[in-house]
Amino acid sequence: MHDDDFVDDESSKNKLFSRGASIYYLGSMIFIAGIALIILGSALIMFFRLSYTSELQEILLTIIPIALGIILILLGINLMMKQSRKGYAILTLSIIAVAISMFLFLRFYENNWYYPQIGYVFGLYVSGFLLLLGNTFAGSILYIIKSNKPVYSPTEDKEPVHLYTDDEIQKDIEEATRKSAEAAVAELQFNDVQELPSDIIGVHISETPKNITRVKDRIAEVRSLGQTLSPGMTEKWGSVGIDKASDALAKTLEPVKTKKKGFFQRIKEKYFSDNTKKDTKKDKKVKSKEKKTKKNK
Amino acid sequence: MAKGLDIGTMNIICAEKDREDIVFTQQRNAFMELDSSDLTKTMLDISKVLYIERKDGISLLGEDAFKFATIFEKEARRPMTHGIISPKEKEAIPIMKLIVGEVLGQPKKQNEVLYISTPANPIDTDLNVLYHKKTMEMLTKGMKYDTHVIDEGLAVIYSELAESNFTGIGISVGAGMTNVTLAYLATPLMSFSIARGGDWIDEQAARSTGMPKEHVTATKEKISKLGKDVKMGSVEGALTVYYDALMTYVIKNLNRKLAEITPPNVAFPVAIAGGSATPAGFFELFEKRLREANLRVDLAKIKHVKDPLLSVARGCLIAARTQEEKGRQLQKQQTQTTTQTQTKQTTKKKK
Repeated sequence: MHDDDFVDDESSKNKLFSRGASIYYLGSMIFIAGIALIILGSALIMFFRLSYTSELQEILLTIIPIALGIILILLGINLMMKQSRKGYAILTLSIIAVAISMFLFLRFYENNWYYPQIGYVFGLYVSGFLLLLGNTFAGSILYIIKSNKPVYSPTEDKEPVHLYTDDEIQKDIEEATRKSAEAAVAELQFNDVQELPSDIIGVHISETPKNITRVKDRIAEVRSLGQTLSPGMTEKWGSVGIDKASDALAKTLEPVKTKKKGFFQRIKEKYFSDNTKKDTKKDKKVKSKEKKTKKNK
Repeated sequence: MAKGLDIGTMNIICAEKDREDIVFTQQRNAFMELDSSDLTKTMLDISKVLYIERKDGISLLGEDAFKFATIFEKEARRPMTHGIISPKEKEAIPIMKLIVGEVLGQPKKQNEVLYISTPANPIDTDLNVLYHKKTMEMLTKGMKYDTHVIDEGLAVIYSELAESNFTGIGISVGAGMTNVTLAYLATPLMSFSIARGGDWIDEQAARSTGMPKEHVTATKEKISKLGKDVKMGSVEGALTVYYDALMTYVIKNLNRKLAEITPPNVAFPVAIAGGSATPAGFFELFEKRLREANLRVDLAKIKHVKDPLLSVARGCLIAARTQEEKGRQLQKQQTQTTTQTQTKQTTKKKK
């Protein structure tokens, strides 16, 4: 993509504003003038009640403002939009074509208004009109494309400038050194691990009494550490663990039910149960003892 | 059977499961050199002492090196300093290899899972723990273990903060270093270490009181309680002062590191472990300092770890057994999928 397409840097922004300040207002003035002329032409059509029998002057006074108004509207729109060099060339060409056609129209309409003069006038006007219309269309399409494109701003992509302190630099160096040392150490292979120095003649370790401590400990931490480090290892989701958890939850949520005893059950418990008999016997004994003690007192 | 190994500056502790128990095998990470003679060797053999014979002498290893150092009024040498292999000790790696081998034993099966604790990168020195990590990893891999490395702070979280879903701050106050990790759901968000620990306290206290460092270390291990009511010029008083200074230093650095991250908005429990967190009164003092510090995260409870010395090894064992379990489950899944595909193929063939 060409650099000119970017609406980014400060200088191009300034250029755009300086161009817009003069041509944008000129374009808008021309646009308004075009509208005014069309309004004027339309008003005159109504005023003169234009028809086949209308006078020559009346036709000229109505047609010229409308034809000129249409061209001025298109020219104004074009000037309000950003134009390339080619665009300005097209505008100039179309203005020239329309101006010639208008001049010829004024010249021929009174006395020589027949073919091929009509063809020249109409051809020049239409070509000028189409050039302007085409340029307006191209300009608006380009504008739409540019407005949809994300505005590129190189300042946004730039990371904020961070000034590193001596401590941070030192830390970075230490970190890099540590990493390189770690890598070097990882590659180290000691080939004499099995050997003892040659000056050692003998090692006496066999009957050495060791300092041994025996502690009763089932180290239940092994299971919990395993579960903490890799929770999915022992009980998979949807397996025993979830069943246990859901059972526990169900039990917790279940309200405590107290079954009402039936009539026969109550009678059975009251009169035929061994426990109740024993209890009643005990109660009677206790009561009789209490009575005796009261009497003694 | 998986194992956990805490490789500390002062102690090397192995944790492994035996039925309902955890068995911790502990050995001092130290050695001492003696002149070789037949009499000495006989004496050491009778005493069942762990030692190696060299062309130019004898090296006592582990706990016995400490004991004999006191008898012979010599200083026990340490293969590790500030949490990593000592660059000053040429013998460090072979000595550590022997001690680790003695504590760890042979794997019960090929590629037995082993988690070893290593310090996080220190923030107050230029020490780099990478080489130490790699050396320890290779050392244990050479013994046919499937070795994995874990930060000390994270091991504390695994061991002590299971009830908070492994979310919290784990602090391991060791002899050479203090390790801190902040984890959320067992995932470390921040890890760092400080090149100060029990040894730093001993050095400072020894310098202040004019006592030998070994004496200060012995006093520290037998101290009844850290407190302000002490005798004038006593080691206990100096120890309390420097424990307090270490705590403040750790908390300040923790707050500084917290400023660099955005932790989730939850209350973090704290667990403090490590060999230097054993004196009585330590937790109370640390809790007090933590509450006063106005940290950048909300604190939940501060857990009083039952056995601070064994906590890191236990955390490593938990990590190892989890890894083993995970491997077993993956293997199970793989066999299930292979049998399923095999049965599908056979049914297709039959059709």
